[in-house]
This record gives sequence, C-alpha cells and structure tokens, in this order.
Amino acid sequence: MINLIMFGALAVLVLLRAPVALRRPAARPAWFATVLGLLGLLAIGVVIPIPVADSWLGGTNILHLLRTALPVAAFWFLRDAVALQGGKKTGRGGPLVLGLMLAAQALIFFQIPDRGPSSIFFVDEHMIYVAGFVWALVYVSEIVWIALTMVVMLLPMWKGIYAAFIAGGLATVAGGVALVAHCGLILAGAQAPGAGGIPWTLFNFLFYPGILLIVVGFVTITVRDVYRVARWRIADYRLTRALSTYELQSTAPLATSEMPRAANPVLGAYRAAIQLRDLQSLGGVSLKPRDTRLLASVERRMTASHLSMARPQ
Amino acid sequence: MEKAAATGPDSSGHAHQDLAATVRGVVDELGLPPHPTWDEVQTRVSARFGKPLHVAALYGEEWASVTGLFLEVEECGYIFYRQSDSPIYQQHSILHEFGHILLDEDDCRILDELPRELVGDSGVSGAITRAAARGLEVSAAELAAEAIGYALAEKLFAAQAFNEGAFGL
Repeated sequence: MINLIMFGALAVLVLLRAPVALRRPAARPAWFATVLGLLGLLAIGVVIPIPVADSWLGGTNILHLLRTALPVAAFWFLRDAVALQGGKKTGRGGPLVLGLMLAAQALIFFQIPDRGPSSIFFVDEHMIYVAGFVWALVYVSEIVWIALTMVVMLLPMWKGIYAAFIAGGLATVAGGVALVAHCGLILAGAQAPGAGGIPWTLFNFLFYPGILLIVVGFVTITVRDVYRVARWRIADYRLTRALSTYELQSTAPLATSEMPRAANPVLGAYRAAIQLRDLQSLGGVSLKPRDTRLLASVERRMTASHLSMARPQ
Repeated sequence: MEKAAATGPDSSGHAHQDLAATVRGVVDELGLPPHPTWDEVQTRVSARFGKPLHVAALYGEEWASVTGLFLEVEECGYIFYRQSDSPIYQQHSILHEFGHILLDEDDCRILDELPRELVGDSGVSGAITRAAARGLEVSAAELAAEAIGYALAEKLFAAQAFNEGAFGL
C-alpha cells in the first residue's frame, strides 16, 4: 500500500515537473531521478507482479537486472540534484561513468548461469555462482559509492533536511557492507541461500531504510520547493492581474509598462509589486483594500527572502 | 510627463531589443559574480562612478513624486530613497539610481523640478554637478535606468533563485 502511494506521488511529480525539466537544465536531475524511481517501483512489482513483468522480458529474470540498474541511475541523478540544491559540485565525472556502471552490471548479470525461469528468490538462489556474487557486489558497491560521495559532499551542511540525506547515506553504506558479507557467506558455502543470518538482518535493517530516508529527504525538498515556487507564481499572477486593472486608472505612464514579462515568477511578482507602488505614488491610484493586503503580504515575503541590501532601521 | 517615449512607435520590438542590448552591455561591464551580494553590486557601481557613494533614507511629504534621487557633488555621490516605502521598493529605487550612474547621464534640469526643501534637507554639501530622480518623468533615460534596476535585481535574486532550480516547478 505504501509503495502504491509512493508510486502515485512520484507519477504526479513526474507529470507536474515535466515542463520545468524541459525548460531548465538545473531541474532535470531531480526529474530524471523521479522517473527512474517510478520505473524502479514498477520493477519491484508495485503495480505489476514480478513474474508477470518478467515474463514480458523473456522470463529469464532480467527484471532483477532492472531492479539493480534503475536504483543506481536514480541515485546518481538524485545526488546531482542534491548537489545543485546545495550549490555543490559532485566531482563524480560525466554521464560516461554512469554508463560504465550500468554496462558493468549488465555484462556481469548475463554471465550468471541458469537465469530462468522467473523467480522472486533469484538473488539468493544465484549467489552460489561467482558471477551472481560479483553482480550483487558491483550493484552494492555502486550504490555505496554514490551514497558515500553524497555524504562527503553534504557533511559541511549537515543541518536541516540535509541531515536526512547524510543519515540515509550512512545507513545505506553500512547496509551495503552487510549485504556483501551475506553474499560472501553464501558463496563460501557457510550459509544456505535464504537462511537469513546477522549480515542479512543488518542489511534489511539499514540498506532500504537508509534509501527510504534519502527518498523522504528528496520528497520533502521537492514538496517544499514546489509549494514555494507555486506561491510565487500565484503572487505573480494575482499582482499582474491587479496591475493591468489599475494601469487604466493611472494619470501617469509607467517606465516599465512596456517591458516584456519576466519568466521567473519571483521577478515577475517583484516587477508587478514595484509597478503597483509606482501607480500609488506617482499615478494617483488608490488600491482596493484586498489588493493593498495582497501587495503588502507579497512585499513582506519578498523582503524576508529576497532583500539584498541591509534592512533599513 | 512624456508618455511618447514609453508608448509611441519607438516602443516596438526593435526599441525593446535595443534597450535590452544596452542594459545587458552595461550590466555585463560590471563583471559581477554569478550570485552577487548587495555590497559587491554597490562597490562595482561605485568603482565605475569613480567616487564614493553614500546611500541614505530621507523623510518628508515633499517626496510624494520622487521615489529615489541621485545627486553628484565634487567628492562623492548621494543616493536617497524614501523612508516610508517598503524595504523591497527602497532597494529598487536605489538600483534604479545605480542605473543612472552606470548610464553616465547628465541631467541637471531635474534639479529645477525638485522641491527646494528636498535638496536643502538632504544634507548634501557642495555644488551639485549631476542629478537624476526616479518618478518625475518617463523618458528614454528613465526607462533605461529602470531596466538596469530590474537587471541588477535579477542578478541579486539569482542567489535565492539558485535553490529553486533543482526541485521546484
């Protein structure tokens, strides 16, 4: 049920943010991460049962390759988005590195013997093969590397929402190490596939909750920013609409009335606010009480978030 | 007021392109960093001006038709804004006067239109060699100064807008 809710929320975000992802390069990593996260949820059987989805791919457990490739790609773009958000450089190389990571997974995966038929226990069942172990090792190492570099990048700004990314990243790293130990025990014959054990318990306790914590951080930032930008868009729209009404009443022309509209909603609201004040001061226009309250409220918000000069006493 | 400058045939697409090119050129020449602070903007405008710039608030009802004022004397320049305005409007009035400074206009005629008390009470000493006021008229020069004010505001906003890019709408 939780996965289904998450799937629905991600689907809405993908659709909602598609226009901005097309328009603004800085918005793309988070959008790609959302799309890949959505596909990742499909790959774990949230909407379509695993055997059914895998049968569409030939019934040879290729779905399990997607279950490792999609989270790595989603994590990669998520780290890029967090870096952009925090004004940091990730220092993780170009998209070629991501391509190499995914290619390595695929190359090793196809070396695993006896891959079919579809099985939800595919991972455990195939740890007895060296290729199966290496495949799991590569997957976990990639996730751990991305999580670790994200933690290192965010450590100087550990407060607020970034604490969720750091804590989630650390848990993911620890869980990844536990999974490697678990797979190593199976490969060495010290543990039967599907038998559990301490490393397996630790992995379950740390790895996915860690990823979940990072996803919570991602969703929190997204919802917060979507809300904030939406508020500015509404302010821009309402002030601009009020401005077009009052301009007709003005006794003086405005120096800005012929300027093209700003694409940035904050700048649009700023321009409209300045021009409304100009109409009041210079154009002899009296604002209705409702518009006076709106203007004052937007100015207060703008002063709190966008005033650069030292605030006059 | 000269409405023709703002709404006549010159305010066509070509006029906007010319104005946009002028504004871009003037702001680019400042060489501001990608996310400038207020001090960085003021320091660079002052450097282009070649003299210290003093920014201060003024009170009084005589300010009804003037929302910002730039006065130059031999040793320095003064920018005044209205104490009664909202902080964000005050900031914009100052940015508009930065625009006049960067455009290097000389329009002392404006002094004749300013209320005598306004100049007298401003605390400016020495002969005024240059002046500009926001609000008295809509001319090509005012339009350009206003456009520079918005361009500088956009630069200043970039520091905050930066965080809206990664996850927002």
